[in-house]
Amino acid sequence: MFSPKTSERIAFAFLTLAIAIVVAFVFTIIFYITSNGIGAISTDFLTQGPKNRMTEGGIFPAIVGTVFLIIGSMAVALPLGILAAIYLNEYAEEGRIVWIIQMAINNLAGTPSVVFGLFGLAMFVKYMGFGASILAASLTLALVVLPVIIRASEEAMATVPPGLREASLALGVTRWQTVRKIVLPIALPGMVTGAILSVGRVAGETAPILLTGAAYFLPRLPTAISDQFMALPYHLFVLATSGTNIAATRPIQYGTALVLLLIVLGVNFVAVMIRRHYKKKMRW
Amino acid sequence: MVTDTFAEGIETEITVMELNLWYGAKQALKDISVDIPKNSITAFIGPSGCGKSTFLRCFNRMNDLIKSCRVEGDVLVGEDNIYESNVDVVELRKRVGMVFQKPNPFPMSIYENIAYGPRIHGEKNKEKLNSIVEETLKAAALWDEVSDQLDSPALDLSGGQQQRLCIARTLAVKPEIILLDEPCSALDPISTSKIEDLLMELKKDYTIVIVTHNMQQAARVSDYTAYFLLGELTEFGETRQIFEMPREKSTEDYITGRFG
Amino acid sequence: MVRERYQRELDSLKQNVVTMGEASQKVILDAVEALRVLDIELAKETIKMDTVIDDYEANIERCTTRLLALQQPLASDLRLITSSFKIAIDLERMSDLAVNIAEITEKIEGEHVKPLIDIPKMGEIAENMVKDAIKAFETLDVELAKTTAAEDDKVDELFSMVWLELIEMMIKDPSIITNASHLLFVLRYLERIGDHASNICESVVYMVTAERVELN
Repeated sequence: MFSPKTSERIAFAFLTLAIAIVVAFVFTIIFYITSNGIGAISTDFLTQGPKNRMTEGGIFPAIVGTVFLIIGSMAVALPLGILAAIYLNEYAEEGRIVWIIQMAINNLAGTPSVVFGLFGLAMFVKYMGFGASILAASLTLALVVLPVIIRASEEAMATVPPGLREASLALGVTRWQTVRKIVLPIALPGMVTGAILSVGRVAGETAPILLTGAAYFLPRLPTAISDQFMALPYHLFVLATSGTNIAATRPIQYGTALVLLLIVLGVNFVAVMIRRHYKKKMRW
Repeated sequence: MVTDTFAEGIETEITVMELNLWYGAKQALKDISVDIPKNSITAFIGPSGCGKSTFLRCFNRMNDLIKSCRVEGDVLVGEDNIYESNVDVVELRKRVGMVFQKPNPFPMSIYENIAYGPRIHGEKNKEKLNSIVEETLKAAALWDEVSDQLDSPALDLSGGQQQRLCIARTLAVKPEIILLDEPCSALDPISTSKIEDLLMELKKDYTIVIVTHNMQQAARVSDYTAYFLLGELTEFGETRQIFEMPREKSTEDYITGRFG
Repeated sequence: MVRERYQRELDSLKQNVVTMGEASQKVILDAVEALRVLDIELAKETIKMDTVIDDYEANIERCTTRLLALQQPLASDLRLITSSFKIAIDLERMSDLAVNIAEITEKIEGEHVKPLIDIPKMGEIAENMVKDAIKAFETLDVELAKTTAAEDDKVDELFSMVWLELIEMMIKDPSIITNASHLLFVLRYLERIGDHASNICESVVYMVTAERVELN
């Protein structure tokens, strides 16, 4: 229909357009949230609790809650996910059982987060008796991100050339030593990427924590992992949908969104630094 | 199978007795018995899929990594039967080093590549490690080319240098035997010559077994040659005999390029 | 069959050696016949053959060098090539010797000192040796090569016998010394031709068995 040269040009034009649209959306969102939220940001906003039925004051308890969730869920999901990935990628022999495990992980990844919330409610809050708490919410979120971490870690390890494992084993090095000294250092940047994706998810998820411990409003900070907590996404949801005065809290909403965005960007930045550090150490 | 007994005074390093190997239901090696002489270079030749690489990997039990692989028969390295159940495979692989087809240095510095093995095996003394790095790089004829850039990435080296680095890395764990699986197939002729010269030098201290598709390479470097066909050891003998007057028709057909 | 071009080149090398062998055989035959009947014309024809034989040898050398350089021959191929090269050298030396005999024909003044019977006989044996050696080469016949080489004993025997005979004749009648000493050279040349023929037989045995034998 078209000459190869023309079709090349058309394809390139469409590809450029697609990228332009994506970039435009991202910048619009960032610009919109920043320009609307920047005015709300102040020392008090970041260090005080909500006041006057949430129409004034800050979001400090929600920030703290979200940070606790990130730490709590990562503390569980990272070691568990990475160890599972090591097992699947380095130890397990191809076969029926591994296939079933892989299928289970894939299905887990596709499960709606509200289902995780219900499971967390039944399992951690009720059955295990943790109650609505940071602990129950962290464990639930850990389950949400576990497949992401396992997948990313597995993929990162799969990029390590098999020749390097063979070379190491042929030197009389054990499998575990090979994993520790060769596979993990090389795969780490990829694994960190997986972890970062999941941090973004933990910071942003609303449904699972809604059912397992996030509070509508708390005047004080949580003091133990068995306490309830406030969290940024839920707080944002509350402000935007069921607040006492939605119009009055609009600047606070944008401020909250901006803080949430900054937390995710901050974690991303840390990830870039870690990747750069390891790239320098393992020189490709 | 036709095999020569060695001239007197030649010691045997590896003794293989009635070795059979299966991948699942498929038999890959059939009833192989052979003596590999010490301090010499033995070349394994034969068409693709003849089992020569599989056989090589029996000597350091790299075949263990393949789940469906089953081995029967005995392989003696020195005095020890390496297929007995109480054999520590990790220890075995320290004694029997291996260099692979594609140069595969670790993505670390030249120094770290060499120090990797000794360090994992417990050598912590910095000066000892320094001297191991220097000695093995010299033994691998690489020292003069890299002595001033030990901290630069191994992957910046040329293919031939990388392969010599891999040989040096193998030497660093002080093996008795070095197995090479088509070590020059990815290298240019100059790098290949350097590796060949190196092997001739190394055979004074090590027993070397090399799998190669390059007939001229086998002819140039090896003292003994084994010809494999369809999982069987068809002929084994002194290299000059194999290349001047093979006793088996199929060996002749293969080395004169009339195979198939 | 793989390496078809290579096989063709090997076949053509072998054919070249056989052709050269036949030509050398004819040179020996003609040289001895020219000498026997003192046919100057035939002698001149024979001398001209020298350059033809030299061309054959040069061609075989080119073939072997090219095969060695380009095909990395091994085993029986390698033995065929090295043997062909050696045989070509032997054939060329033989033909040179035959040409020398033809040249002597021109130098003989008047009649022979005696009717030539044993010398043509030596020539016939030598010529047959060349024929059989080449046949052994062509058919990879080790037995034929060995029996052919054994024929050289007969050449040597006739050589000693006729040599003594001529010496005695020269002592009795010094006037024949010029013509008789020419014949002494002929004897020496024929004896050398026999040696070259047995060298060819040795090359054939090596080519087939890879054993280096001394057949004389």
